[in-house]
Amino acid sequence: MRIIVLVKSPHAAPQRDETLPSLSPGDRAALATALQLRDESDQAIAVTAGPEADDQALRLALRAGANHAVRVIDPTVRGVDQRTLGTVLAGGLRLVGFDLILAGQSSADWASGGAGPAVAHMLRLPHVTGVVQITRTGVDQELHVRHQRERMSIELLVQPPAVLMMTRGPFLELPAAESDSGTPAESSSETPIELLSLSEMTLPFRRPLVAQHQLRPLTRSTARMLDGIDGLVDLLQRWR
Amino acid sequence: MANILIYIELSDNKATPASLFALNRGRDLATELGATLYALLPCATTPTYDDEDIIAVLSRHGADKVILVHHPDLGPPALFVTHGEALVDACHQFPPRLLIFPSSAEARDLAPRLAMALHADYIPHADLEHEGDEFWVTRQVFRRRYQLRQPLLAADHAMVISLCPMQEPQTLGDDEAEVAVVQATVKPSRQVRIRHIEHTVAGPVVGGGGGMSRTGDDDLQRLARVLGGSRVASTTVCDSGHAPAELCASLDGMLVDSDHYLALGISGSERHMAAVQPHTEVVAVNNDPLAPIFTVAQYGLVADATDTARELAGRLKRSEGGDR
Repeated sequence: MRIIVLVKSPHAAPQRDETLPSLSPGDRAALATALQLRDESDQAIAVTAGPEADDQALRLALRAGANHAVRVIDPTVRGVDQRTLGTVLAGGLRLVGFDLILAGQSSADWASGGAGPAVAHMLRLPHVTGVVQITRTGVDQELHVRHQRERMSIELLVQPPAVLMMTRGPFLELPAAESDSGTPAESSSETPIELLSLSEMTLPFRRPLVAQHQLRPLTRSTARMLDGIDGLVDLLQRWR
Repeated sequence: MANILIYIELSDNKATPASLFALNRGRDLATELGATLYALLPCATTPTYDDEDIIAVLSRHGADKVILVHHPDLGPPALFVTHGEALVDACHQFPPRLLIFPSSAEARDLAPRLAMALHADYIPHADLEHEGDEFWVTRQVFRRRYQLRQPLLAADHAMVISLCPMQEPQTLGDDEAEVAVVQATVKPSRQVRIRHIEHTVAGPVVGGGGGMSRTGDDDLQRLARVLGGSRVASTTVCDSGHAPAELCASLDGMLVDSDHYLALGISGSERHMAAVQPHTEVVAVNNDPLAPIFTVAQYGLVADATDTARELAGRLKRSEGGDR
């Protein structure tokens, strides 16, 4: 089984062309699950789309145990536009090949949770969000998938291919990022990152859908301040 | 005239408060924009008619019309694999300029894919702001440090948003909404089948940070247990060896994916907030009124976190009549 893990290093902040030396926590859960599901005949392949700075996520995935890493290059990828990102990733995945696609529920920057369903839509695959556990049933490639929501836990039987978006996964300690250890990027992994350009491909659309947007820093407290512990007790009683 | 559709989520055969809040906000918008407000309700059986039936409730909360998307397989819970095709069909019959979901796990599964099917923009966990003549859709991005603002309905395509409930829903009048029934076509997925549904309330996450004394660890544990939730720790606490790395909620650790997060003695660094999901309601307790956590939390209390954890654990345990 070719298990794709969509990974991304979250961007540091707007107007700064850099990424944080880590994976979004949901992507880490997806990677950990892929590595746990993988048996000897399977491959776990980390895939991202974007500029060279995004190789950081792929190198982390390789060092954690992914078999291959692929970065899809397309000039239309923009952080906020999940529709275009999903289209580009789907174009790349058609070339890479897949049996199962795992992703984090949402990234630690734009946090829309739209990329996985967008990929599923473009590839005409079923998707399930809010996944907290995946195990094999032992029947062909069938999977037990647990989807968690506010007041229920739903156990699903999933026959791949499908897109599953994770919020939790096994604990996975990632090796230190290159920027932390000071070692050159090239020596961090024996496995090279495969670059996949879609510039020659005809995608269904390349025009970003997102309307003009503004970004404003949030610097002032918006919290409703409680008078004392009585107010906090009342609030917590409502949670139960 | 533009259509505004509000997706109605059911719990125990009643519309959830977040759905009714979305309907309230939809009413404001529809009145301002001269649009028709539809409540979009998938259902396995058509509702009965009496004073407290769901049609009456949706009418009282602002719906002009109720679209019943009916099929025996469309009972809750709704996932895109079970309900998506029927909802897409209904949206083709009543094309929305704006489709609003209540922010929830159900919305996170349905809304982004519906947006793709409708060629619509998708904005999750949003709020609506009215400035002058314009409506804006806003949401928090970059670990709750920035606000993303987009003009509502300025583009030539539809928008799908999920709306965070900000207050209790209000009844607005007694006018009876018209009802339209869409007999849906549902093809059960061959690839994804529901095997078992377990009704459980996922408890809140309780987090302890460097602002808590280590003598408070037991109280933290007890508090998480009394609330029926789980415990996480900040990077500072894990790095100093006072909590195992598996409990670390951070950009380099696990997600806080619960609906509620009680952050005790946590400063609110960007790396920590990277782990907190956009839909999670944060309540922060910190003795530093200038702690960054207060800029990203929904509720705050300036107090000693260790003392607060101890008192909370005791009082909540007493009010429950015993520890769990």
